[in-house]
Amino acid sequence: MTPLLEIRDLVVAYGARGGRAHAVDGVSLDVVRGETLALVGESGSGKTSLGRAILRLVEPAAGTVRFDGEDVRTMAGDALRRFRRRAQVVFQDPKASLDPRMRVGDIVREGIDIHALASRPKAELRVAHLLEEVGLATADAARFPHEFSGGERQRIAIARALAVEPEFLVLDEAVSALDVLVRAQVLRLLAELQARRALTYLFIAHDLAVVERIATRVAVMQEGRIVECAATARLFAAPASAAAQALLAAIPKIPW
Amino acid sequence: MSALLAVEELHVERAGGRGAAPVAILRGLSFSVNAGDTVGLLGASGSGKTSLALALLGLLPPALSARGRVLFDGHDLLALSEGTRRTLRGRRLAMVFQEPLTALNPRQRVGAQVAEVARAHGERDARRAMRGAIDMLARAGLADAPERGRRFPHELSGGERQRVLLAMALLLDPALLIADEPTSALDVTVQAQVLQLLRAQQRDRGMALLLVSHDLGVIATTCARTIVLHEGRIVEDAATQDLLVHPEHPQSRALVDAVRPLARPA
Repeated sequence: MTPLLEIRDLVVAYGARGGRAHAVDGVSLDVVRGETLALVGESGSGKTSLGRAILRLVEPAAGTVRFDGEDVRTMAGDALRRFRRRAQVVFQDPKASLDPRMRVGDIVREGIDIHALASRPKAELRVAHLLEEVGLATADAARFPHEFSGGERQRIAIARALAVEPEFLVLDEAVSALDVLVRAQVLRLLAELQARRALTYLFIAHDLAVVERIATRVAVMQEGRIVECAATARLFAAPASAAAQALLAAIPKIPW
Repeated sequence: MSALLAVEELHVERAGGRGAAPVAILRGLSFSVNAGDTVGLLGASGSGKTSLALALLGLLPPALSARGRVLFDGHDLLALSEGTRRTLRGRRLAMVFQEPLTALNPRQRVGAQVAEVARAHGERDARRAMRGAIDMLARAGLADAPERGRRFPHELSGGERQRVLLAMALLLDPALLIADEPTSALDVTVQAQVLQLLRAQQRDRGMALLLVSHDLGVIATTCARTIVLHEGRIVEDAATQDLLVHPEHPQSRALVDAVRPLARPA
């Protein structure tokens, strides 16, 4: 089976043309259908730039990204619109990513309208189901983002991403700003949703302790490159790269 | 031995608007901390842990009011004048907060900000204050302290800024340091370094530490004792090791389970 996502020799450069600052410096990586691939690394290692380049939120300088066999970089028109529906993203800070002046129901419904996936009454029904699916109440559709806690806002962001029936989700530090209890709840929700909807996740995080709870495989980034990629259990048992060893050493050693 | 800090029946309330009843934030807390103790204050968001830290420091916002007793060195902090409290703060009682950028003056070089602490507490010689500040920055692990001390806060990384705040807090050798989520805004690698520094300074100085966090991982590696706060009440106060093995209150169990390795199920 071909991977859902195939990345080859991807380069993302910032700064002036020909500038030498490569946030992503020749990355090749496959993401298999149904898995959770964690992308970990210290701040500045290039993991967020890689996530954005995959979604075409930034233009790569070189390399290819294939989604379900199609070249993402050359997509246009209907093909690009279809890709934008099938691949969704949840960011770290739902306070910044949810429009404070829109009601939750409208925020979640917006994607359904843009992609013309359902008539208005059907879309509203779908929003109600989505809110319930992420653990919120149907009546929450009428409320505004500021009326919710951080964890609830992240559930709203997840409902919005799911509204267009995507297959692939980039979760960019999606649980990093949450308190440990809420984080555990949101991780559980993500695992349930993945099982129920056959989703594929790219889970970007700096904290390996969180990754252990959700990832199938882990790719470790350092200075724009993937320095190690291994099954989660293997990476935790025998990290090969210095970067993975440093990230593991940073997890507080609880004296159980 | 009498306790360094003794909190007795501490209540904090938010005034209710327009005749509404006040909202209880802390509902009668009692605990004590002895000299040299390391105590973690563990709670989820909204449990009241930051209000507690602010109440101890006399820094509650005007909308919040405290009653009860907070005895520190035998003085009731809640009954002291702001002037006396300010003298205690810094000299005997110091603090570090989560977000070092907002706690530092953006327009002043960090070395000068540390030196200002010594000046505010009676050091008259400006050059000696600056030498002491640079020395303290170096001990707080700021690499190349003489050069970095001349930088402005925005020219430093988050971890470096937290080291500056720690240098300011430790400069006057306080008997008690209150640290409110000092590493929550930091990358895990930097978090590990700052915690290590905090542990080393606590040990070397024999200082008492009250570490506020939602993350038992952070507390368990640093504090011998853990107080669990839930909805404004202390629901458990135990040796950290016991809490990890036998959490008694359901909220403690939830907080322990949230950090328990998956390979080691309950």
